[in-house]
Amino acid sequence: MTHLCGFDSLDCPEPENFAAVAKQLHETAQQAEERIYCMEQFLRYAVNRETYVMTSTADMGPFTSSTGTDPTAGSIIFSPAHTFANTFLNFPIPFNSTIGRTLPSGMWHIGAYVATFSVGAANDNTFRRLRIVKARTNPSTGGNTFVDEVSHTSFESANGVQILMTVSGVFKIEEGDRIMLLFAHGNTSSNVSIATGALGWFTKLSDADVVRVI
Amino acid sequence: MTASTPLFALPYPDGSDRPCDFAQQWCDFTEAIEDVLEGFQETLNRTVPMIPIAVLSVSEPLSITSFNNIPYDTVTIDSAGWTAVDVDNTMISPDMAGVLSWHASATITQSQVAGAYLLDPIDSRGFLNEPNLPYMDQMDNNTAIIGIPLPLPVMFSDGGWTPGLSGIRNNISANVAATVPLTHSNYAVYWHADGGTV
Repeated sequence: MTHLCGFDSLDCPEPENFAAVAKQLHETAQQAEERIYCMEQFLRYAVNRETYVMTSTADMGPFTSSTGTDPTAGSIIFSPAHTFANTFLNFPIPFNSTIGRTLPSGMWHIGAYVATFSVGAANDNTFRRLRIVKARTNPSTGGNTFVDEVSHTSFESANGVQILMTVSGVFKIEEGDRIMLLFAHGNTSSNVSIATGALGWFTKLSDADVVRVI
Repeated sequence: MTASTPLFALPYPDGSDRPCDFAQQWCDFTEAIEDVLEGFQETLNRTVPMIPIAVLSVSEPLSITSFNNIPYDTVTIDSAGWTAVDVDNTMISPDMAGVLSWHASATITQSQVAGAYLLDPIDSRGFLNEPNLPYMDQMDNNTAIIGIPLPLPVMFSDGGWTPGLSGIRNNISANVAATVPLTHSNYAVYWHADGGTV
């Protein structure tokens, strides 16, 4: 019988092709692993963002009074002079100095909780103010420029009760920014301290490079 | 007759397939894997490295007539197109469904008048789909700068927001003074979760 269209056999994998098949599958597996590994890193980051929680283990203060209308008034809390535990910290500890903390760039949710008490007499109806301030060094004066802030003001009666205060906000941190947790009060008859168990926290929400994400 | 996995429909040859078709089936398999990974990547892109977030702030002191919305002068960040300050600088308008977290604050200089302030988030759609929004008030005894923080609980939005037209504003009022002397205000909204059933 004549075979007009030829009679060559069609290719099918033969034992001598198996090594090439294995090699190709190896390459495909490596490509897949590279993609999956990259995604895994992002997933791990998404569920474990930089977070720092501090809990004071001794009273902070006593702090002297300030003028209530002074926009720069206040003493830094959770400073190097204070005793606190790093209750949770999953990234390199932020540099902490007497002029505030330096955080990595990005969008951060920052908060604080304090219980204040007068160490002596309490002046009736005097203010207590807890603030989170984003500050930068003024290149002209070397002092602080307060760029952004959230704050909570309360007032204490002459009965001398503990004043519980909490404040939180969202801040954009850039190179050169410092975060200051500040406490101020107007009690002139005695100083005011912050009780053991105060909290300060920092959680990174997002990078801050503006890219449309939806 | 190619078979496929039940969850992601990844194709694979079965016993009736010809070995000669294996190359095409291999390509079909890798393309299907790529499609699945692309979907995962799109989800990841909404969380890492950026999330949908908008922050407005008041950086220059100003006086606001009581019972008016805070006019923000700075867009600190807007990664998702939720602000349109040239249209309305008082509002953040998320245009996605999901659970969103809201934070606002106001810092008020000494008013010269003792009284109280109220920081009140206003849903421009008239509370159609959110629970009543919590607000914060604060006494002023005319001796101190007043700080009012307003961290709202996460809230569910059904979407349907129109940037610049519908959203949430922060209204500030004083029960005595006619004007509110504001030095700082910070207003942030960010995505917390999609809100679908797990």
